[in-house]
Amino acid sequence: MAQHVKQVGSRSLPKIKTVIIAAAAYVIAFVFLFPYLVMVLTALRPQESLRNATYLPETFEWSNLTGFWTSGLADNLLVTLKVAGGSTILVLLVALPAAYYTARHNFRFRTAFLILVLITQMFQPTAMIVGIYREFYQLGLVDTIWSLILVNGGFNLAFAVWILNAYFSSIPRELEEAAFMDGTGRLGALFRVTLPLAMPGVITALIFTFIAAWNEFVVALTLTTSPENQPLTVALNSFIGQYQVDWQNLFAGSVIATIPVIILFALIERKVVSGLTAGSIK
Amino acid sequence: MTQAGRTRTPWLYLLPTVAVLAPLFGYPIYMLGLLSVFDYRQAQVSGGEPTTFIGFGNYATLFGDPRFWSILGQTVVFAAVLVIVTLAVGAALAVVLTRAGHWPRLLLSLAAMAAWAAPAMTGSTVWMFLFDADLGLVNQVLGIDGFNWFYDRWVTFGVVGATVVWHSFPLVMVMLFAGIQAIPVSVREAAALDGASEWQSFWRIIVPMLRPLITIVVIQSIIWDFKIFTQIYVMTNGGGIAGQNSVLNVYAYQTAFGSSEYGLGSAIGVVMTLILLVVTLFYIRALHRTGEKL
Repeated sequence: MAQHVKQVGSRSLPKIKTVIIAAAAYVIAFVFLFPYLVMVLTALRPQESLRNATYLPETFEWSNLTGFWTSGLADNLLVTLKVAGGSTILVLLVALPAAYYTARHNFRFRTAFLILVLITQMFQPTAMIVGIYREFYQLGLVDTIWSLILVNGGFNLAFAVWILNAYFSSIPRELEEAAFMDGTGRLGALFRVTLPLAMPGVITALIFTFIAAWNEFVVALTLTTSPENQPLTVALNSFIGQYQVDWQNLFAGSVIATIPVIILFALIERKVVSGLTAGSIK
Repeated sequence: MTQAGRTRTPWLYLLPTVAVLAPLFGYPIYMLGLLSVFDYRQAQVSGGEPTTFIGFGNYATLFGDPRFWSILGQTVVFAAVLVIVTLAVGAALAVVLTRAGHWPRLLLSLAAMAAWAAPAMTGSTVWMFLFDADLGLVNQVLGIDGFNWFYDRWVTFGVVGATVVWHSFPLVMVMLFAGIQAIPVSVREAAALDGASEWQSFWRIIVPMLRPLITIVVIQSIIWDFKIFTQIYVMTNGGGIAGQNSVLNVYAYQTAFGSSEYGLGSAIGVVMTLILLVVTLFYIRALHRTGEKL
């Protein structure tokens, strides 16, 4: 059947096919972006027009978005920023030396170390949340942003170690040796040659951690109790009541919670993919 | 570096990682195991009753509870369906990506990645709104105003599942796309010249050549879909009507923090952790087979 079609319409078919595939790609892209479109439009609708809504709002109520800053949510956004920023710094400080050393040296427990780190990536805090809660309760860190920074840092460390390890391994040792011979010293060689070359990996690990911590929900739901200590994801959940949902405020907040991560992610898309597929394609 | 220096220094570099990971994984897992063999509820937390060791009592309660088995069952079925649908959608779109021109490809991958990068929380809320009985666009378009999508157990699972797939297929799509790109063009061209259809070349060429990658994608999807929490918790308001849409994670959370049955909640957490550990071992074996340098 396919052969037959190919012979008959071999000249016109590829063209039609290209158009169909392009059209399909656009339609699918639209379908995937559609929920965001709804989110933004709803956030900008006047309160009373939610019911009997036309597809496009007749008037845009920009005050819904500016209202975000005067509502308590601005505090929650600040918590999210602190948690995401704090975990990112923690991850980089901890992952860089480990990734560098395992990439440059062979030692006895190297494989065991890397596998153990990898195993931690598979665990997500949800399954062991009771244990985590208990630990931070004993440490007196429940309802603080420190607990969130530590947990988010810890649960994203594995990816950072692995991707940085891959980057460091790909930088020829000779480059570093040469700089060392030129008298820069070990640390000088590291900071002037190796680290700049590994920068794409560092940035990828950095943004990836930031996004994951920004999006985190379960741990924050469990570990924070007072509204002012909750990150945005948890604070938004409180707009969803048993019987009533405050859609406008929910979506105004959702838009603000979503846009930064999408922009950040667009910057590292390719690198994350190559990091995730490292070694798995022959 | 001297030989002596080489043997001593690893710990200097690795210690920070160990210092972060050990207390964040070791201790909670230890605590989880410990709590799971104690009668530990609100009364014990507040000091009203002494904490008593009950051995495998919590596990006995759990395994004797038909509700646990039904939740375990629906967790497995839900995850299995999600894995299959995610893979099907991801693979189909990966093929579309390879065939599409520059602009459609760019737009599609950006749209998909936007769905992936966004918080599960906001994705859940917007899908909830789309399927809202009174305000939702879906009911408006279908002309079934007032139909409640979050009433029937399986319909609810369907909507939540669609949200999960929307959020998780992009990763599968992009990984498979990267894999297909890595297949030499000559191989694909040769197949086309031999008259292989799109469908045939997918199953006879792409799938066999990408088997290692597909194994990893499958296992990652299993892990991802097995530990779904946010979508269920947010969209069904903590597990649906009478907890009918609960999955293991949500059940553990509700048992521990909703009903203050910390011991029992820990036992569920242990079961979850063991299941994830088994899947993880398969993952590491799969990575090893693909020749990942460890």
